[in-house]
Amino acid sequence: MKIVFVAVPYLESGEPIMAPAVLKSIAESQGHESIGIDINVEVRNEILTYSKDIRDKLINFLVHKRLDDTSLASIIVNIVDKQTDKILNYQPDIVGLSLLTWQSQMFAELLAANLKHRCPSIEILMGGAGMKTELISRDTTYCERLKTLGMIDHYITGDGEQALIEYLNRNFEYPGIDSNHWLELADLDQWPWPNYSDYDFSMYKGYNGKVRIPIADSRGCVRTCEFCDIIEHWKKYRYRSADSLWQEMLHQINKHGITHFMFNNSLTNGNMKVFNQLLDRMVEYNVSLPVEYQISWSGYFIVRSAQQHPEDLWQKLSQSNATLVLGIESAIQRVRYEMGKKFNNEDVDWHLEMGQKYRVPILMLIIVAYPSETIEDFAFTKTWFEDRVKYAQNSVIGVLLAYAAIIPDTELSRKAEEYGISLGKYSTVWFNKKLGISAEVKAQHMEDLIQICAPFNREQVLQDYVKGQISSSLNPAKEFAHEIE
Amino acid sequence: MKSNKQNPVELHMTFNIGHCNGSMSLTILANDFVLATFEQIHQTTLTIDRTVTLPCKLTFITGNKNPLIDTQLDADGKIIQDKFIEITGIQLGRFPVNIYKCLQGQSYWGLSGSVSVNFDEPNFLLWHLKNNM
Repeated sequence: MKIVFVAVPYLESGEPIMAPAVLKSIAESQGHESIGIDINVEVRNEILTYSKDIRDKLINFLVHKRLDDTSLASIIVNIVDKQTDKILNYQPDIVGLSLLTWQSQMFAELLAANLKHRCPSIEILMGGAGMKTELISRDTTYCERLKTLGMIDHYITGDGEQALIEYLNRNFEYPGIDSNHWLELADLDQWPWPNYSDYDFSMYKGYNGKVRIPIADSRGCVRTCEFCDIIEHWKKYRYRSADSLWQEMLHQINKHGITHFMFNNSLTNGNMKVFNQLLDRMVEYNVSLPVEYQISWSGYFIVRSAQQHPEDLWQKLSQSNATLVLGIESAIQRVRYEMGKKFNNEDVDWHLEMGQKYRVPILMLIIVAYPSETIEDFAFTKTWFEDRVKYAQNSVIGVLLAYAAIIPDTELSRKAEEYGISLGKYSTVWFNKKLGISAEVKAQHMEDLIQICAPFNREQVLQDYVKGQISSSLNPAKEFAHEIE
Repeated sequence: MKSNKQNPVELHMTFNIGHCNGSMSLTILANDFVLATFEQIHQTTLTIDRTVTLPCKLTFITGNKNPLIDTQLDADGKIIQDKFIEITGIQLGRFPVNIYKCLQGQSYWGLSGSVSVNFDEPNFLLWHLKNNM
């Protein structure tokens, strides 16, 4: 069989999307001819050619499914037609549509309908976390609806690797195929490396002008933060060996000449032994090379104590050209402990100091107005950032602010009653009756933090991350707050 | 693999049929072309799959209804049996058409007459985007 795997728009990211390359490898390992393409980048680049007004309307339609200006319909049809042509030119038997986030649902629907219209005999398989609104949601309404309408033939939920093999073997009874009951992969090392040979890396804007190749080293997390859906989705933390990861990195460097990597998982330093082994290899590779040929990487990084992240680790982070995305989440130690992040303020400062000393860029993730934060905590948070302005752009290159969300089926949502929280219709719409902080006040706190954190944000980072974060977190809290406050 | 980039598009329609002294008649026209016609429909649900060429005006013509005898009421004036046709779904190119919006709420046909939907674009996606979102 010939299969084309497609990363479906729309994602703001100008980075390569990994899934089609992973799925292509797996299909090829089973003897099938396969193509893996990322059409998100093409659609994104095309949308960027339009004026801001049109661009915003197009994105609003693709993301929020609202088309206020029907004069744009022909532009949308042209975009969908062009991508349909591209896929059908490969003459596939099966098209696999991969949805990374729910923001891909509109385009996926248009594309699937157009593919079936143009080629009714084609089989369409859908997968990815984006088929659902939340990662851990049990709701398969979207894909079931498309299946009923005849737009898709099958869908796969959860870890898709083994399920894809079973699907290609026509074993539709395997867990995860057309059902929400799927099996977690046991051994992450056994799978072939992603094959990016169908990607045109020149199309990506990249980060800081550098295109980064995605790589996945683990699933799940070692922490149990109460707000997190990752630990509900993947119950057990699983990781790849340093050797497997290193061989994959060398393979991608040799094949594509790209030495920048983006770790696509919840944390890179879940297993310190493996993490150190991988760092050692990167440092050894970099040490004799000029900077432009050296490896660099970025990834999520959990904060630990100075004893666990000693100075020699920071030396290695620096020599491996790391950019760390640090999930600090709250400036308030008490709140962090409550949420399950067991590190203290000294640990945070240690990371900022070490980042500065060893020139390791750090992006901080902060949840704004966490449900247990008080008005006094808001004030403390502002002061905390003001006191740390010395780290602005040295080592902190960005602060990513997001409104607190209470995602269904997380520990936080289960504790909602205990915390005195009323839940609204969206995850960012909630009200802590015990604290009585209104959506207006929370929004003002967000505005204040945006101003205070502005010095931290490098322009490039602001473009790549922060604007996206802020705009995506312009939550409906104010709009719907009256229903629960 | 055969690729269809022309204007013909799949049309899928579903109906509920109410019987009282038989059923209503139904004729479906795509412009002036008869897509389907039924003098009597014996089943209680009806599914019709056709291909139409866009743009086209789809017209549903119902007949054979005498309101005096084909609607039975109980002593309180409540309908206990009726001869009717109710359109429950239209898919144009597998996309569901918002029947309520496109038929201005006229999806239950209890009288002889006609109702139309104008698929007035050459491309089904274009029509959906302009009329059906």
